[in-house]
Amino acid sequence: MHSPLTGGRIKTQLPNYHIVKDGLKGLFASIVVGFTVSTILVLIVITLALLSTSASATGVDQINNTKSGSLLVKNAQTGQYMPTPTLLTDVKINVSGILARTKVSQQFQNSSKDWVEGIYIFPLPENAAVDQLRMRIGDRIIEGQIKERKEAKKQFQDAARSGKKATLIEQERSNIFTTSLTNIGPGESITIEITYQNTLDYRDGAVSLRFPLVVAPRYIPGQEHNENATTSTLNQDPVVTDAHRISPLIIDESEQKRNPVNLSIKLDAGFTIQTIQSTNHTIKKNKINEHQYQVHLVSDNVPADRDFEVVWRSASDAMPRSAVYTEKKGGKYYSLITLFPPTDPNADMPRLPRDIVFVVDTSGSMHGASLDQAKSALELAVKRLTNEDRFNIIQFNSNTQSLYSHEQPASEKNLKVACRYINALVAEGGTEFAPALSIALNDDAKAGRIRQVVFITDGSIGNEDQIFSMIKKRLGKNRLFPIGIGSAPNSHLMTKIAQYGRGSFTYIGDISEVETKMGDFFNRLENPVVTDISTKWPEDLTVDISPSIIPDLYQGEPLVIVAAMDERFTGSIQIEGLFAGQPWRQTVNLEKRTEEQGIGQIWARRKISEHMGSLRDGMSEEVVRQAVLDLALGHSLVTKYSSLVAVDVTPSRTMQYMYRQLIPSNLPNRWSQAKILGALPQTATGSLMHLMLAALFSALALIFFLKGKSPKARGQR
Amino acid sequence: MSVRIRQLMFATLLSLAIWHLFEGGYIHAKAWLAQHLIHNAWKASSSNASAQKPWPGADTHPVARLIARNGKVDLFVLSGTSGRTLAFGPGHMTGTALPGTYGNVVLSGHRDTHFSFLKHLGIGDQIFLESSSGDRKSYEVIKTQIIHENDIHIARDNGDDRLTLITCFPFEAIVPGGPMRYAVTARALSPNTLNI
Repeated sequence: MHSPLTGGRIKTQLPNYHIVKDGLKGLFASIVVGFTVSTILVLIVITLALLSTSASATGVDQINNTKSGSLLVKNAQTGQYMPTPTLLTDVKINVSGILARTKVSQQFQNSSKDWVEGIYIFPLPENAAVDQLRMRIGDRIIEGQIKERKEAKKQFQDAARSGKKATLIEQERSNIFTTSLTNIGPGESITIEITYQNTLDYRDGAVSLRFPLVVAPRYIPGQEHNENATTSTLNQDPVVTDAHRISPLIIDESEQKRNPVNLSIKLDAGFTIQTIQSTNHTIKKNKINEHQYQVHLVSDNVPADRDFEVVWRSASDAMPRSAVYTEKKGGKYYSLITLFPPTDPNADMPRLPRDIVFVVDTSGSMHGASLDQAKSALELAVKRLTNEDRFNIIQFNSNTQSLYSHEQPASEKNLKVACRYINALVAEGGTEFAPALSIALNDDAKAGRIRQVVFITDGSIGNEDQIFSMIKKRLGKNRLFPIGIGSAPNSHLMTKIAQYGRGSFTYIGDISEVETKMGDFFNRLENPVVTDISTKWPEDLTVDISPSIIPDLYQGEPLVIVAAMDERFTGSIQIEGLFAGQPWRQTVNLEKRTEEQGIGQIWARRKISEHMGSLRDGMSEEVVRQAVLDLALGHSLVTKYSSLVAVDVTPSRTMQYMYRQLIPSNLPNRWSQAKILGALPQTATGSLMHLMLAALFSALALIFFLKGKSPKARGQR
Repeated sequence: MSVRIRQLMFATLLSLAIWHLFEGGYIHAKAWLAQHLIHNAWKASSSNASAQKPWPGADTHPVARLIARNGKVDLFVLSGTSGRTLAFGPGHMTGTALPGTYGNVVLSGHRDTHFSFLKHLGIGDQIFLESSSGDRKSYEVIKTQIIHENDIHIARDNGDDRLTLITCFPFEAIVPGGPMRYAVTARALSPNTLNI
């Protein structure tokens, strides 16, 4: 009332009241128009808002709420996403020693009224060699063929067009695969069987088997930037920034019943088993004999948010000294050799003093349980140091910060400072790994000392290539030991860091494991057994072994090499190295061997991995592609350049031709991917909405302004 | 309605209007200003051959320069496609081929700021992408399409050399967050077909 606006208005109105009268009519009209327009606008905005939220509720949110094993079908008529009620995953693993052959059956059921095609994306273990595909329709089985990727895709697309059922298995990243299916009729179900082999981790008398049930959101489709390197000075974005879009917001309990996972292991350990344990899941064990067990995942309660891990231990001293597995395939002879270096507990092993650098990830992704695990692991590690050792702690997020400028003696006083530093760590910000790595690799091992770099991270790091090439260039005599933290660390990155860094990778899935896992880890870290290892084969034998660089062996760790030979060789080979600094030599007799399936594939998979790695060293893509393709086609392996494709002989969609043609080709009626690969970036700002709202509120403000004015103006008459 | 309430409503509505005007304008101002700051970081990146942050505390850095529509569009592309990054410039989708390399380079940008020009692109139009080393690659638009945001196949590497530009669709939608995307696919032209 005492506002300058009101006062000013009355003064000007008095002498011009005719004008005001005419003006008022106009104003009144504009108020009516303005109000109507505004109301319509409000309605439009509200409707749009509702429409867009309902669209995202049926699409994005549902996808977000879905766990990795699930699959969504997009309905062509309504454009809505409806989860298929049944996708059954059945995993059967056959273990013999450290060899595992796994059959993953995915049963898809199309409960919609339409013919559909779809894509299903799933993770497999890091070193999985996928070599077999079977498509099961009723009781008919169609075997998949290995083809060059483009050719396989073309066959699949041709089949899709001609109404034939078809399946295509492609590799997206070295541990991410996709299954594409086409021409699944209403109410039909189809089973896809994929077989792969891999070698298991074997150390400290324990073998561990992992089956990934979840893909952490860091995986982004498209170019395999792990393996397809480019020599570029550019960083890739260090963190997967759209993680929030592809992480489940709420875990829907009913999903578990919808997409159950059955998992069973036929276990033949090759030694007397003392214990069998699962890290994250409940399992049921049936003993067959001392060496053999049948293990089941209790399927009523499968938390699909954690990788499945089973560990079996030998009774002490029950471990075989060495083992040789062989396979004859396609005129070649393959041998997988495992060898344990001598460990005489009575012998006094000289303990070399160590310089150890702990690099801990304190980025935002580590927040919560992960950082707690990292802290307790780090504290345990620091407390293990002796007076002779020197240490430093580096933390990295968006910035890199270190406790000391260079390694300091592990004196009591320094350790106290270190513990305080560890306790104060806070997880926040981005993941700039490279600068931390660079600082850690600034120095090299001094004479008579060992220099080790321990990384504690969840591995949500994007610029992998830059990291690998830095390690290759600057490793020197340093050794790198990544420790993976969290429910689903990026084991591809960690394994590679360990491989290039000649160290080993430890995975800690839960805070309760920190103590035992770190205990094993320290044993290894503190007792490097054999270094600078090489193998000697007869000179006249053509042999191709993998790995070409053999990592150092730590206590409790076996040497695992795979060799391909042109002729049968049953003699002995020499393995040489430095045992606690002294020359060491061991003979392995290849005559005592076990025939086993899949050794050839394991060899080829390792070779392919080496070839893909050579891209980083500037090898031309064409050369690598050819080499990988030769191996892949020879061994029937799915790689970046080759896919498995199965096509039904007879078309099944004959009746539905008309219907099919009605569907626009650029929006096919197909299954959308699960949350794993997520969605394209969000690319609209609210700018237009804000500006519209600004206009709307101005209009409303004007109404109130004028409404306040009109009765007074009338009163003046 | 008492005068006091009316005035209160008026003041509230006016402030809301001003606030929205500011918010709406701020998005454009930020988008525009950031590109200028990035220009400097870009020059520094090019001369140092190392990634430079455009401003202190930035969680991204320029990875390429995108030129289209005969130079009418000249944008700096940032690393990553988080909402925070896209406010400042179009982003390079992590995991896809890096600008300047062979493969499917995927860039996305806001439909109402940097990438509003996508609606004007037609088949046959040329787009240039300059990497920090100064190499310029040319592309020719071969396809424009409307896709669902879950149709991530567009970001896959199919083994050919291409550039994919993605923005939200429809361009004029008032409320952001819709599920549709507008995608422009351009194939790389081999260096000898260039006439610049």
